[in-house]
Amino acid sequence: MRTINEIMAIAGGAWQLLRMRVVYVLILCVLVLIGSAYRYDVLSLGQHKALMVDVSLMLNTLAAILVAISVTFEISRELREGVASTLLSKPLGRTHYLIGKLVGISIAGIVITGLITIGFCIIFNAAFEDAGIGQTMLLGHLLIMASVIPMSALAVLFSVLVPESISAIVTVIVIWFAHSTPALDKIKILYGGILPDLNLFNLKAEAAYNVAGSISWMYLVLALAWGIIYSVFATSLASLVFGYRDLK
Amino acid sequence: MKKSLVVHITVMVIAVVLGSGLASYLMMQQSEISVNRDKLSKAPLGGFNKFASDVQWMLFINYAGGVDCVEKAEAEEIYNRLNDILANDPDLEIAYNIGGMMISNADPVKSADIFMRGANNPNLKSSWQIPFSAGFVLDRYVTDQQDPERLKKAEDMFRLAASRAGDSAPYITSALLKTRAKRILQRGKWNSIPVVNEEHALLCTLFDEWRKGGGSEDGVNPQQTTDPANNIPDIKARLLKAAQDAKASDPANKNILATLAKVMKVVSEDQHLCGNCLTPYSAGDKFCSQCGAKVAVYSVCPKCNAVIKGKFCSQCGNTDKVK
Repeated sequence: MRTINEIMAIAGGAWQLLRMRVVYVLILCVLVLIGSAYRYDVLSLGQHKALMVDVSLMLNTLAAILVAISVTFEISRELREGVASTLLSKPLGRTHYLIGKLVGISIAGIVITGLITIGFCIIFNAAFEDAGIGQTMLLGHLLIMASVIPMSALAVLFSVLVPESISAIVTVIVIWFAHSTPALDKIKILYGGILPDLNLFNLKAEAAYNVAGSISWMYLVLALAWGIIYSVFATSLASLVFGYRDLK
Repeated sequence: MKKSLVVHITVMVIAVVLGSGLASYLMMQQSEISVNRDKLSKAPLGGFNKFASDVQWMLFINYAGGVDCVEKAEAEEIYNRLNDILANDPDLEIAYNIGGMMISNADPVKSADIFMRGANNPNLKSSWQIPFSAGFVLDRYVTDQQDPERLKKAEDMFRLAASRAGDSAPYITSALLKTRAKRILQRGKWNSIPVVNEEHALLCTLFDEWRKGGGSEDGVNPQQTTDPANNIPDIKARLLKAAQDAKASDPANKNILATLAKVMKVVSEDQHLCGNCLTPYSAGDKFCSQCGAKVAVYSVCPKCNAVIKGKFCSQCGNTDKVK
């Protein structure tokens, strides 16, 4: 119980993100962009419905990536300013510190992507009254929300693995390629185990076309389970590296 | 410290094994969900292939709006743009329809290629327009020099379109039959009879279809098969029309007459048709109402020449065998 409290105390620091007004302004901008897709009916020759869904999924993914990389700045800053060493001087393990950061940023990410999802549902329903939100569309967004967990784990890993100046960039590159390397699907053991496979959360095209029954709730649960398992691996590796690191 | 190292490594190994196993399973699930996943562009687009396709599609529309006339160069550009769009989103149905049709005149081979890719896309199996357009382009615009197999491909495409459209589009069946007729004409022979023209070939085609369906006397094909061309509801009427057209096209041609004899013997043995124009005539008629040719009178009373309506002659009460 004490361990959980310690982790949640660290996680609370990561939730600072949710107290920043700029985050909500950005969410509003995202929703305006989603809504603007409705005006592309002529330019897309009537494909604006699929376009709106796709834009919402794309922006939600970008929001999730931005939230995840924010933790690299936070951990780096705390290590540089000595906040981390102050925290770690208390009866708190380094693993707990990293898990706390992971949990905190994951929850913040899920809240932010969840707000975008809710906003999208409202806008889509208002724009296309006859269509309604399909299960596949909803699952597409929920998969993105679930992808926040492994992305945050990668961000935590690279914030302790590489120098502060490049940790955010490396995290973005790794997340980007983890989404876009279907060619590596053939490497069954490595890919999805050691190398991250965030493409498992990418069913945007199916969601955009709202192909009925294409994504099941079981797929979402299993993808979430993979995300948690991969996060355990990444956090263990991060903790191992962090354990040997000298702090100020 | 050592204990911590062992714990960390153990956790990592378990996570890798579980993660890779689960990822493999999810990849299989994904392949079932998204059948075109392997065909997607390998460019590192961060999973935003669909969005890239949306942007490319809008740029394509912008480009197409500025094109006055589609010549060979424009067709090449349109084809390349369509390839880029479809590499990122093979399910964009409108791209096949609009893009393929845009280049059908300037480069029918590439147009047919676009349409056939769309027709063979399992995610677009509800669309009959794409295979119909593919068949149309192959039949009308592509030449035998460009593709010697074009008619066979066109027939396959029309058959696909007909199976998807059901009864809602009878002109697809007509197009399919005409393409089959062209193939017979291309071969030059039907049941060892030389085929002389399109009308003759269409007659041969319809007769083949009638036989495949085990043609019944009520004009409706009784054997409903999976081949839509074999489920032609009005095949007997079509067959009669084709026979009339074939005869009209070359009345003295012995090959056409040989075919007609074969067809009429089987199909219309119970029907009374004018020997000259193949128009059906009624009981008691002495001359064809269409061409004026003399016809064999039937169903009349041998005594008073009145038309027999039942068992007895209604005019004289005669019960003798009627003509």
